[in-house]
Formats: sequence, C-alpha cells, structure tokens
Amino acid sequence: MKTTVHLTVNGTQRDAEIDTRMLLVDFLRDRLNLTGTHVGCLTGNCGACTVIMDGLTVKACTILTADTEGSKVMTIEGLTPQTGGLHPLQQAFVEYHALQCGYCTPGMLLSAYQLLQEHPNPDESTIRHGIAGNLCRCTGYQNIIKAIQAVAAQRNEERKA
Amino acid sequence: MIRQPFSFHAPQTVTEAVQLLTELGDDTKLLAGGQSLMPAMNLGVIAPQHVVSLNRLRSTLSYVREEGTEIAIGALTTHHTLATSGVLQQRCLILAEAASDIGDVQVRHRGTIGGSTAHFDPAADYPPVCLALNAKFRLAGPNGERTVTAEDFFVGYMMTAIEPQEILTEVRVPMLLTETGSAYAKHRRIEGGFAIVGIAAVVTMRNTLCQQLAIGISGGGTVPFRLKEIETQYYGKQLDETAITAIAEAAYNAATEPTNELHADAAYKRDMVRVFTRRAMKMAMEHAL
Repeated sequence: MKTTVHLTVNGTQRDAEIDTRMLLVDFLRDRLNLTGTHVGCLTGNCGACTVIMDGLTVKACTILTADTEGSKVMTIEGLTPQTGGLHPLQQAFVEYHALQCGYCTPGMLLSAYQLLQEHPNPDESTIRHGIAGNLCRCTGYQNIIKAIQAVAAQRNEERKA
Repeated sequence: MIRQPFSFHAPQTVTEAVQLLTELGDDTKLLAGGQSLMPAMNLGVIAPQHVVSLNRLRSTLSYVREEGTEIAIGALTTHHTLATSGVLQQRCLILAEAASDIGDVQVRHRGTIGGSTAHFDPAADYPPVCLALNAKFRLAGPNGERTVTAEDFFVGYMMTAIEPQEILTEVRVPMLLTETGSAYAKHRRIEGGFAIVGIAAVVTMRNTLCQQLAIGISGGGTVPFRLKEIETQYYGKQLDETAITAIAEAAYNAATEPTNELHADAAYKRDMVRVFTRRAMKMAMEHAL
C-alpha cells in the first residue's frame, strides 16, 4: 500500500510517496541517497541505523517512514559541517583511532553527540552507558571512549576560556 | 525489508483509534514505540494486515501526573521520560529504576510503557514492578472505559486483559509514602538486557516494624507473580536478617517452574530468584529508612 509522508531531513523538507513497508533507514539510504546510516541487524540491537529524530537518537530500522509525518530527522550527513571539514567528534574519532571498518561509526557518532548534549562532562561509566545502544565489532570501544572524553575535555577548556 | 504488505493507519484521537480497531478486524496490530513490533515485522515473525500507529496520540497520551494519592502515566510515555521523571524519582522510585535499564538509550527514547506492558514479554521489567505496586491499567474500547488491576491485567504468557478492540491509555501507580522503600533488582547478562530474573520489592516501615510488603517476581515461572502468601506474614514484624533470608527462601520455594532459556537454565534461575529477592529487599529497606 502506498502513502505520502512529509518530513524534514537535515533541514530539507521532503515530501514522498512511499510503500507503507518502507523503514526509515531504507528511505534515508535508498530514496535520499544518505547512505551514511547503515543497516546492521533490523532488530533494533546493533544501532548502526541510529539517527536523531525530533531531538532524540532512535534506531531507524524500528521506525516506519509512514510514521515520520511532520518529524525532523538528522543523519550523520547532517552532523558533518556543510562548509567543509569535520565535526569535532568526527575529528576526534579520526585522531583517537575510534573506528576501523567504520560500519558502526555514523550511529556511534550520533549517540556520542546526543550523550554530550545531555552530559557535557561524562565520566567513563556515563559514556559507556550512553553508547550502549551501538555495537562495535572492531575497536573494543576503548578508543571511542577516549575520543568522546577528548571532545568533552576540549569543550570544557573552551568554556573556561 | 518487510515482506508482507499492510495498510497503515494513523488516528488522531483515542476514539478514532478504537473505531479503527472495530472496523479493521483481528489481523490488526497497534504500533506505539515499535521497539518490539518492528523487529518482529522485520523478521517476518508477525505480518499483520493492518498497522494502526498511535504515534499521533503522543501529545495527549504522554504524561506523568500527580493525581491525589496516585501517579497517572499516559500509555505513550517513553521509558526515557519515566527514567528521568522527577515525580517518579521522588514518589515512585522503583518505576523510574525499572524504566532506566530497559534496552538502551535509543530504545528508551522510543519505547513506551503502554506498548511494553501490552506486549507483556515474560522477561520484561514493568510487569513485576506493576504487580508489586498494584498498578491499575485503563482501557478504552467500543463500550467505553474500564480499569483493570495489575493482577488481572497480566493474564498469561504474553497475554494481557486487553480485548481485541481495546487500547491501553493509562497506567496508574500509587504515590509511595516517605516510609515506603522500593527497589527493582534485575539480573541481566548485559546492561539493559532482558531480565533473567527481576525482583520488585515495595516495603513500608513504621517504628522498625513492617507495615506493608509487596514482592513481584519475574523469571521464577512462565509469567511474573506476587509473593502474596509470604507478604502478610511479615506485617507488624521486624525485617531483620533472619526475616530477609526467610523471604528470599520463600521466593525460591515459590519459583517452581522457571523456564529454561539460552543463557540460564531453570535451576540457575531459581537460585537467582533467591539471590535477587534478597538484594531487592535490602535495597528497598535502605530506601525506606
């Protein structure tokens, strides 16, 4: 069955006719060519499909596109500065070798982004808790945590200055 | 992708939603947070002909309100909202505790108490807590509204009292007194994972004597249950080390048929019922004082 939906993705209004079966992750990847969001498990476990919808991280494989009417979605492409370069979190992930294959990385970055919004000064336990919805098969999480801690510390410095 | 086609409906009011359930027939599933339904549909385990999304109702059915001696919670309130609710942390801590360890951040941002309790996975966190709190469930159907107590709501394995044409709209829990301590002790393999056993303890103390005691247990049988026979034995008594040991032992004795599962066999679960009942009691007692 077909239906129409109107939502905003990375600041751009999108009106589309879609099949009711289309998951948000598939809409983003196949319709909008925003392939930064990945499909990992389709069961809401791995977090590779994490996006930010109406201000909160969610797993896009658990959301029907038909159910996103009026919503605002931000993908990893929306985190990357439009003027070029990398977001501080992306930069830190590079510097601290917080990715290897990169499959979990977009989702991980958005969860880190959300975490730092809620907890500007997270301790290790809070960071681990905050990224618990994003599985990484490669890194063992140590460097991801370091990267997040580095950004938090950097922002603290900037706040003091 | 989801293989089977389905019609998608998005009612704007509870009345409209109930109307749809009446019209569309049995092969219809309600969609709230989708953290259980969508994985099942993605896997093809469930393939309803109609999906009725309740997400347009989030503005009206998402709330945590103090109402007299109770706290009224809209069915579409997310686990995240409950976990971070100041009202719950002050007046019904155990519910906020249970909500805070469901799944992970993303799951809690979307999953709802209504969706979760209506789904009634036997290893879920809300059921033993709702049983211990004597929570009430408000249902809206074609014949009007009715309220069901937790005891009557959780009927059987993944089966609740919700009739096919009804919608759960609200959950009510008591506002706990200052002398009441509550705690949810959950044994899980990973943070946010399903409970291998989950013990909810609510205890009211006055002058070192127990006034009220309620213990809800999941993982000790095919469905969660209350330790009702044991609870009344401790009214007016001190809950000292001996008493707590006896209560934990009673929990073990009551957990006669835990189900075997991949990560925990029945004998292990039974032992864990004892261990975590003890922990829940101790935590609840500390909170009460």
